[in-house]
Amino acid sequence: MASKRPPARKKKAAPRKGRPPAKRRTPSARGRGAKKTAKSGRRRGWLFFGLPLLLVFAGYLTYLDWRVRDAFEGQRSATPARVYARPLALYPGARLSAAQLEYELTALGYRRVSGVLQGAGQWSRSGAEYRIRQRAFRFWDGAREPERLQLELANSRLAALRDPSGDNLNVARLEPVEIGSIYPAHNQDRVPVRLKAVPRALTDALIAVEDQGFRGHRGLDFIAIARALWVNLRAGRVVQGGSTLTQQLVKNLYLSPERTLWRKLNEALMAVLLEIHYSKDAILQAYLNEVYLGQDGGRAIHGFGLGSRFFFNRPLSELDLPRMALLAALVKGPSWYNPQRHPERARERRNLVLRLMQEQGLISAAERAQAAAAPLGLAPGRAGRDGRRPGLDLVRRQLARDYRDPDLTSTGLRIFTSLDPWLQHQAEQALSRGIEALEGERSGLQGAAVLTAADSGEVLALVGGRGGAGFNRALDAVRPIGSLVKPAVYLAALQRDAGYNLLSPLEDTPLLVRARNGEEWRPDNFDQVAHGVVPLHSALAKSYNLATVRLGMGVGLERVADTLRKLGAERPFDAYPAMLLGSVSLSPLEVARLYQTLAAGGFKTDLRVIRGVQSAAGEPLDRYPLRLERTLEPGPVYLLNRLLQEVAASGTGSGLSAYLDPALAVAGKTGTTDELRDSWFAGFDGARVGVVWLGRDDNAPAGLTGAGGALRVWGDMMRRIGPRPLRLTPPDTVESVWIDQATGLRGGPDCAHASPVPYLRGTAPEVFASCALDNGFGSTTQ
Amino acid sequence: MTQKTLMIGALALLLGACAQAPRKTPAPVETPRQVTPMKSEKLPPPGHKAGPAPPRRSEAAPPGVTASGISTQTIGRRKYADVAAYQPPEEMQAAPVYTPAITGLLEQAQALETQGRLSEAAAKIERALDQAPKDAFLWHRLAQITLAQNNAPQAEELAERSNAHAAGDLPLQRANWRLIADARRMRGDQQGAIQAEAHARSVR
Repeated sequence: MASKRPPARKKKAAPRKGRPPAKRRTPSARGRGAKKTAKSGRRRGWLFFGLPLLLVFAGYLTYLDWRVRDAFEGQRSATPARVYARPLALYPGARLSAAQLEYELTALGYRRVSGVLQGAGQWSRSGAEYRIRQRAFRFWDGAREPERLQLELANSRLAALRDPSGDNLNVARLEPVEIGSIYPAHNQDRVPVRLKAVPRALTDALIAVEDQGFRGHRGLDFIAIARALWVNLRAGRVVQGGSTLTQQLVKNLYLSPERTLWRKLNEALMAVLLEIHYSKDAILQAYLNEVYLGQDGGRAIHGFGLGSRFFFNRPLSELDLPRMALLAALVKGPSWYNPQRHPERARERRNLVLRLMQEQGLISAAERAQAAAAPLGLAPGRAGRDGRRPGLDLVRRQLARDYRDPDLTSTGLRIFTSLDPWLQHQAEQALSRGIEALEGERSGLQGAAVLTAADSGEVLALVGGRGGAGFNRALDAVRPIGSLVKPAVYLAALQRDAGYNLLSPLEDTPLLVRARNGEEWRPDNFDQVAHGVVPLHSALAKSYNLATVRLGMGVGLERVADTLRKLGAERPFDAYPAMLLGSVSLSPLEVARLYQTLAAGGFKTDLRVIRGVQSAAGEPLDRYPLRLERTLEPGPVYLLNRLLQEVAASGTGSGLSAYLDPALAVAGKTGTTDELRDSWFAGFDGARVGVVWLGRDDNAPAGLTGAGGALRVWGDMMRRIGPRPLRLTPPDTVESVWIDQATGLRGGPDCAHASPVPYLRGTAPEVFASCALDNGFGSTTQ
Repeated sequence: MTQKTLMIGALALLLGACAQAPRKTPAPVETPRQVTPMKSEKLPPPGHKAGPAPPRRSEAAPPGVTASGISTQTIGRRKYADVAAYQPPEEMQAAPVYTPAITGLLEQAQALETQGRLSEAAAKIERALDQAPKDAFLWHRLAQITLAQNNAPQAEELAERSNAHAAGDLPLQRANWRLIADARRMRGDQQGAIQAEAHARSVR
């Protein structure tokens, strides 16, 4: 915000400053006119008609001058915010596979080389040993990381981390992948560069092909105009332009693209004015940052800084001659010479640039030959593309709470996030593969996935659907959550004063619920079978609706609703009986927040995606620290999490065993809504919370249950990202008691069917079963 | 939790400008005058005030020098007063709990903290938590720094979070309760502070 102000002030000052040169012209023009009128004796008439005309012209010039300076100054500061992923943390013992490391390096646009690393942005590998030469990067905390790193991987872990001299390093980070930018409504994106940082060969190439007389002319190049006129006349059509770089800059900065004489005239005047005010270098730098180079969906690629990232996924400083020549070649017609769509045209034009460079003595014949034979060298796939929108959407929304739009789109903020490109990639893969496998006859199946860090609540990955940008389902598909709500019902019941424990008998029998408005509701089980009396833990594990509704009605709707809010549901909902079976609608991200609170043992956290914001100058502006609030007692949450482990181990989530080792003991819950419209799975392992939703955008039945659809995607996703075992620590308020299953009384290891069951301290049965009486007293464990 | 205690001790060693190489006990702490069994339900160390001790103000300089001549002055004066009072259990494993990465981040955080760069110090601890998200001591450090930032409500939540992972680590639980007391006092909640102090004393 602060950095935006000064230019604004400059804008106001500009017209005043700009006046003198325009005024200076007026008297001289007027002087000439005065002589003429004196001769012809029509001096008064001239004054009468000529002076106003001159004044109008002077005023117009002043206006143009103001516009020239205004937009020029404005252009310098209009830098969209850039958004970065989390930096990859490197430390001995860190989980890191070769695939992940190489994915990260590729996403960063680092090049694999054999032999010695020549410059920044390169890496080499021999066996399990990697050498990396980092680019300089200003981290949020101001720290710089070592430039040269040596890594050794073993068993998907970082076994050793050293500097080039072989000394061990404790910890380092790779520079973060840039995942996008927040550009303004007119969709112009750019990464501004300073002229000093631009390789000479690039400006040479540009001047060689676009404006050979740039260093000498004063805004207009009459020789070039004459040449163009001659060429065009002979050809009978416009084949060559005589525009200088200055004119092109004026056109880009100030004028509409129409081709009229009036516009041409303005362009010429403004070009001259620009040259009066600014140095060649300033104009060239502005040009380099302004020139339009291509289109990425709705985003317009402006300037060579961004062009280099967009086409080659690397900074300008790391471009070789053929790539620089290609960038210069695009200027003439970004869509006509679009190297992705028309590689042949682009190549021809590039080679023309190279020829001109050689003719002008800028490169040797050998250099030209070598460069002309090189491939276009575009970055593969989506690298450099603005494709990872789902995470960016969230970043934008969270930023909007604290920053005004113009500050985001024009002051060059650097936004550091927790988004993890590798996890994002894996989640996308899991979702798209999963949908493909499930689709079969069901066309139009869509989905969303969310991954967050279980302890900090940081958002790691968001998949908004398959097939790239568009409707961001992870944030905006607000759908009934079905049985995903049940944990709130059971958690409410497991509170000490509600009086239930894991073995409390529940009746899973038909019932009729009459709501306050008089409506009658007859819930049914998914399998349409009533199961009679079942223990509480089985009712959740098997997701029995009847038992759950009875339990929820017994505990009280308001208490269930309150628990849901304590878990983090902020969207208003009605505490109707149907709420107990998930009539509540939430987005996948909001569901993640509920389960986050469970995974964190009852601490509610904001799901953060932004870690810090840095100004363009590198000064830290804001840090978004971890915030949490204990909203739920640890004891009941522990009991509930044990239940959710049972769901995954032997309940409706048992299908996970096809993807995950049961020893991981993950916790989760399936969710299905009426007529199989929505298929949900939400859960967590020892490190991450994951939520998957599958369904159709038109809300027609998708034909999938939670277990038959979302669970598979979830299992595959967690398998891909390297699941961590979930080890729940019982809080002090929980004790484990041997219970004889036959009687439900206290048992002991000697009882034939006894097992330890966690209870809130003091709520376990006190009477011992006969089998436990043999050796005196029953024993408690843990 | 023996490992954690060991590590905390080792940390104090690093930070406490220790001139003396401890022999049998790897951690620079008070010479154990009494063997502290690892089993819970133990008495507090003799040096430890039990019962209704006067409310402990953490700003007050700690005893400073312990029996073994270890001083907790300079950097860790306030923060590590508690650490220095630990009684390490006899049976200790040689392997440190923390990776050099986490130790390094803890050191950096501490250096930043003494320079008053609390926000950056907290960021270092969060980085360490990325690596060991269930580590009670890291949560405790975050709580300490947050309290130093005068954010009493969050400091209290963080100390509670630390306690949620501190099962079995009684000294850390006590430290957390004392921190909670400080946080409540900062908020002007005297009654709550006294309760938290009582809670700290009851942890044994």
